[in-house]
Amino acid sequence: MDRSDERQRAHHWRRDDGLCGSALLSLLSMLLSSPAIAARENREYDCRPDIKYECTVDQCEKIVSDFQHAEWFAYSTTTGELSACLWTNCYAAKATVFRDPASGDLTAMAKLIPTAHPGNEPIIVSLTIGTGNNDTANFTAVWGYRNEGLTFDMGKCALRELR
Amino acid sequence: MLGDEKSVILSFDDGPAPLAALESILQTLRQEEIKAEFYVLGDEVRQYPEAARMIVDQGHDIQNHSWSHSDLERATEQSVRSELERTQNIIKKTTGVTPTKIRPPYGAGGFRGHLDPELVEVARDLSLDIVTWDIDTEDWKAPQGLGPEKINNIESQFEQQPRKESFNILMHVQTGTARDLPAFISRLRGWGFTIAEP
Repeated sequence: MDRSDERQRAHHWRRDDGLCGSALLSLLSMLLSSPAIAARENREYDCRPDIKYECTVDQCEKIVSDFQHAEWFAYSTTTGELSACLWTNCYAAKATVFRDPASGDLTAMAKLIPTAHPGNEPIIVSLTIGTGNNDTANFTAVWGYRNEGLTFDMGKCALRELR
Repeated sequence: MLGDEKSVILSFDDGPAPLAALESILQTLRQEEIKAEFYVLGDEVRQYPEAARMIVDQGHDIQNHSWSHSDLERATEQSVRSELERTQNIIKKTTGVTPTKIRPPYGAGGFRGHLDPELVEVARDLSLDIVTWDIDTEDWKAPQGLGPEKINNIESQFEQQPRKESFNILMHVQTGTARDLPAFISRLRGWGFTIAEP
């Protein structure tokens, strides 16, 4: 997925102005009732954003600087754990995983629980990782707290093969 | 009142960049005659040494927030040591000050009940106290800054800690926080808090 695709996805999201955190929760519930497809390879994805869009029901704002150091996502195909660190806490949970048969993209979704300290609410994260090559793959992470809007983080994942 | 006979310390993570935000925050603190804590990233001190010196020259505390904002709880002992030691060295070399505190990024490995053994060991070796915060302003959340919803949340956090008399308030060096800081300081004083020196 190149940058123009990413922008297109974000603009598409802007049009879906009714979709917010609660809708994502419903979507997550629906997906949880579907059969999950486990990824076959033993890999860890370490995903760092380049740009992000902060979206409310009204609009999305593109942000290109001063956040990359403090937002990070990871998914382990070995443990099935999806994790994230966001500014003042880290979060993790076992994910439900889907693979798009056409594109090969992998999506891991979960309601993540704070792990560094209990001072924050759980967060819902959907991490979609492209097929990429042996070293890197593009990703889009969509995340949010309850009804506080949604954030799209986009960038590259570093892949680590595990034995 | 909420803050009667209570005090707060203002602290800012993730500096010294962005510079415009730092300069605005420092100006507000100067006008309000407040000394604060700045938990800086070693890699940003390397890139912006003048900004790190500005913090120290204006009488504020400069402290260790790791080199690259990594999750120290997941890091190996070797990596934790490198993150903290390199930051100690660059701050000392740049400002002449040796930090005495480490606030781990994300709070990871630093909270009571969640202390990371490797972080504890390295911090001890470097004579660093591991610290966290009492009030999370969530200034990074959209909309960035310290707007009305954030203020309500901060007020709730104070109310949930009625016996505590001194609070460390976590903010970040960023544009929205710099913009809203004068009003936030005014609100803290309006609640009756004394703003203490670190």
